[in-house]
Formats: sequence, C-alpha cells, structure tokens
Amino acid sequence: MDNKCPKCGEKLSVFYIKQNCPNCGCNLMYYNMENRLDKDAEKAEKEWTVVDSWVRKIAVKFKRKKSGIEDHYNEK
Amino acid sequence: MENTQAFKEKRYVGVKETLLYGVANGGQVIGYNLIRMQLTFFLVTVFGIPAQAVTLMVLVLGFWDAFNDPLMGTVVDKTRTRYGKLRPYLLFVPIPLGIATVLFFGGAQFLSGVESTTVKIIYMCITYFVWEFFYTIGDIPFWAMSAAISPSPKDRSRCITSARFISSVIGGITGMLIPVFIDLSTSHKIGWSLAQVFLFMGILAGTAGMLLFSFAGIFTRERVVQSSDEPKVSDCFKYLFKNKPLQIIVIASILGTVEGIGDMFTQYFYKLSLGLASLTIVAGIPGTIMGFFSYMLIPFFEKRWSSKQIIVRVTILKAVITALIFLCGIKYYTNPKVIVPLLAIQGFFTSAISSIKMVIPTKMIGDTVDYMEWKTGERNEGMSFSLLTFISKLTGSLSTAIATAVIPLIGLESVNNEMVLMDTGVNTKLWLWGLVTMIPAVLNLVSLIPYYFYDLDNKKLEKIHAGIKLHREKLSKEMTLKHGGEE
Repeated sequence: MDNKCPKCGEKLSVFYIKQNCPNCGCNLMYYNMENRLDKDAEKAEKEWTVVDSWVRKIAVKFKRKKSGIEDHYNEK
Repeated sequence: MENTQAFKEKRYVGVKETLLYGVANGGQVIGYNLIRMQLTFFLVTVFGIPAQAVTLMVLVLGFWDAFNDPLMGTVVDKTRTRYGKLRPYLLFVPIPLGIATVLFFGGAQFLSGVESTTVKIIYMCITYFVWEFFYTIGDIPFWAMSAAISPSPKDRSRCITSARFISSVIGGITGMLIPVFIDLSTSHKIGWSLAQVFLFMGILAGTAGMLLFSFAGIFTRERVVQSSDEPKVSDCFKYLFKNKPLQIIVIASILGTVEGIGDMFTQYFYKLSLGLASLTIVAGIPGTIMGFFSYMLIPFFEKRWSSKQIIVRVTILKAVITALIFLCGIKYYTNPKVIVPLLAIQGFFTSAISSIKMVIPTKMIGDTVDYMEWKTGERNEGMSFSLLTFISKLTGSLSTAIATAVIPLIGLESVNNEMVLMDTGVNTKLWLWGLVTMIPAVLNLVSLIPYYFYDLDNKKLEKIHAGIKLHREKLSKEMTLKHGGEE
C-alpha cells in the first residue's frame, strides 16, 4: 500500500495505522476499492497468463510424447 | 447472473503473491515443528525439567488455549486499520515471535549454570506461554488471510494449497534436520552440546523462519471489503453461534479425532510386530512423494465436486482402502516382506487424501465466513479461523489421550520408557495391525454424520458470492462517496 492518501495525496508515515486519512478523513483501505481490485486483477491475470502458457506447452509436449509411444506400439 | 459470471473468471492474486503466502507458512512451521516434535525431549532431557512439570504445563496451556484462541479471534475481528484487520498482526508478530522462539530454545544454554529446578520451571512456563501467545496472534490472522486475500474462491484455494504444500516441504526438511543434529551432537561429531544444538535451532527458526513468515504481511493484501465499524465483542461470539456450517465443521473435526490415533501406534507396530523401526522409512517413501503431488489434484477435484463431496468421498475412500489393506495382510501381519509393500501402497493413497484434507476444510471455513457476511453483513475471519487453530490443538491432544488409553487395553506396557508386549491373552500384534490400517479410518466415518446437515454446496455458494459481491460493491461505493470521491 502506498504511504499516501488515495484521495488527497497526504503523505502518511508507515506507522500511521488508523483507517482514515488525517487530512481528508477518507477510508484509506476501501477508498476506490473497486478500481484497485480491477488493477490487481489485471496484474494477476498477466502473471497467470505466463504460467498458463507454460502449463499448456507442457501438456502439448506430454500429449505428443504419449501419442508417439502409442504410434510406436501400433506400428509394431 | 452476469455478476456471478464476472466474479468466476477474475483472478486477483498473482503468482508471486500466491507463492510468497506459501513461503511465509513454510517459515512459520519451522518453529512450530520444533515445538511439536521436540518439546518433551528438549525440556526433559536437555533442559533437565521433571516430566511431570512439563505435562502439567502443557495441560494448563491446553485449557488456556480454549479461551485464548477465540479471544485472539475477537481481537483480530475488532481491528480496523489502513492495512486491513489481519496484515498489522502479520507485519508485527514475526519480531516478538522470533525473540520468543530464541529465548525458549536457548533456555538450556542460557541457564546452563543454574542448578535450581524451580528457576528452570519458571523460565520454561514464561517463555512457553509468551511463545504460544505470539504464535496464536500470528497464526489466526495468517489463516484468516486465506479468506480475505481475494473475493474469488479459486484464488483462496490456490493460496491455501500453496501454503500447505510449501510448508510441508520446508517442515519436512526441518523435521529431518533436527534428529540429524541431535545424532551429530550425541556422537560428538560436532563440538556442540544438545543445549547448543537447540539454541542453534531456535536461532534458525527465530530469524530465518520469521523472516519468511513476515512475507505474509509484506507481500499480501486484503481484498475483501469489511464494514468500517468495529463489531462488539458480544457480536463476535453471537456470529459464531449463528454460523451453523462452521459449527458442523467443528463437530466433524472433533469426531474425526480418532483418525490421528494410528500415527501413535505406527512405531510400536514396526518395532514389535515387524522387528525393525527403520522399515517405516522404506514404507513411507511412496506416500511422501504422493503427498506432494496430490496438491496438484485439488483443482481437478474442485472442478467436479463441492468441498463437502470431496471430504465425504475421500473419507469413504480412505476407509475402503485401509480395510482392504487390513484384509490383505490379516494372515501376514508379522511378515515384513508382505506388510511393508502393503503399507507402502496404503501410504500412497492415504498421503494423497491427507494432503486434500489439509486444504479443503480450511477453504470451507472461508466459505462459512462468506456465508455469515451474506447472512449478517459482517465478516468474522478472526473468530472463525481461531477455531481452526483451536481444533488442531484440541484434536492433537485428544488423539494422544485416546491412544494412551488404548495402550493397556491391547496388551502393551511401558517398561523403562520402552514399550513391551504383555502376556494378557490379547492378540496385540493383530490389534496393532488394525490400528495402523483400518481402525482409525473406519471410525472416522462417524465424522461424516454432521456433514449431512452441511448445505453450502456449489449452487448455494454461487448465490452467496453473487449476493456479497453486490453488498461489497455498495459498501465500497458508500465509503468512496462519503468523502466526495469519484463514482
């Protein structure tokens, strides 16, 4: 979390733990929460896309290997 | 419906955060495993405290936990900060918990010149109490975080799986290291006394372990909107009594205590029936490997079945497999050539089931928190997950107590700290075979009875999640608009 108020930009100490901004009183945790969640989702999706593509590649290789073994036995 | 669809597809927790949440749990279990595995040995043999004093202390602290855990849960639920209600504890606790770990395991070295047993007992009680206090205030927010880290149940499931998997790897390594260091010390291969070995272990758990544990506070975020008002203490307890699905999970877990008794008899079976305790390592290899891989099976099961269906099916499957193993070995239970492969096969399946049961009930507690939010508008992660912590301690103590009570009934007796067979006419070896195979798993079927009344299936959870999504959006908008923010 940034050490500044998401609404008024007031600088906050790391040790300031109250949930409301000392300057404008906004809720530091939940102000514009939906927007922040969307940003998190975007970031997470990017990270998981990399993992998903790895998993897909491995699955394809595994399938090829499996079908290769089956073809080998079929030929015999 | 549109909301439900959108909710289903989004992932909020990235790869890095999921892994670091798991690594944090790995750091946490180093100290926990040290306490769980070596508490009696350290205090009695290394520190020189009478066994009765240790037993009394553990008993008193066990009763204290019954009050302490829900109390800590309430404190967590009442916390409202700009970091959330869980993260402040995860950021702060690693420091005092690390110090408490070093002080506890350093006791034998720090007081090496002290002769007075009273002083040692006082030191032990204070440091253990302090350790237990900080461990609880770190453990409850850690598991509660699994329900607050994301609005998506799949994200939560991935985080719990990551935590259980990584902690089993790190915990397994430290579990192996401890006896190695003890052996090296007793055989004088390293110039350390046992007191110095435990001080070293305490420093390792208190520094490296706690550094890893701090990742939970530093790298994770709470993403579930909570009401900005602190609930009253009485409300926290009231929610607990209103939470029927959670009560069902608690009752089922307590009834499932018997499942743990088999572990205590395993070493007796190998030693007394098969004649070689180290065979347990050979028979345990397939189970250890499968235990790790089975975490990957969880998403596969979750796609097909609800959490309740998974629990019911794996519990029945375990009873069936262990019963078959029992029947296969009923004529050969003293023959290692037959029994070791049979136990290896059993371990292969039961380890997979244990891994699944490490993840699913934790996820189910998160579901009950959602259920309460849907019902009352309030989330009580602290109180709900304090029960998870409490249950694991309670069932651990209960299964040890049950197993201890069973020992004389099946013709075993402890002579000079060594378990021996008594001549009482009871077929002790057959009983031991039953206890390491089917008896605990079959008795555990009783724990399925409460689940008959558990109604949080996938359909209902979908409805709940869609409902609370709207509630959270409304709450978030209200908090934004209250201070003249953009809509």
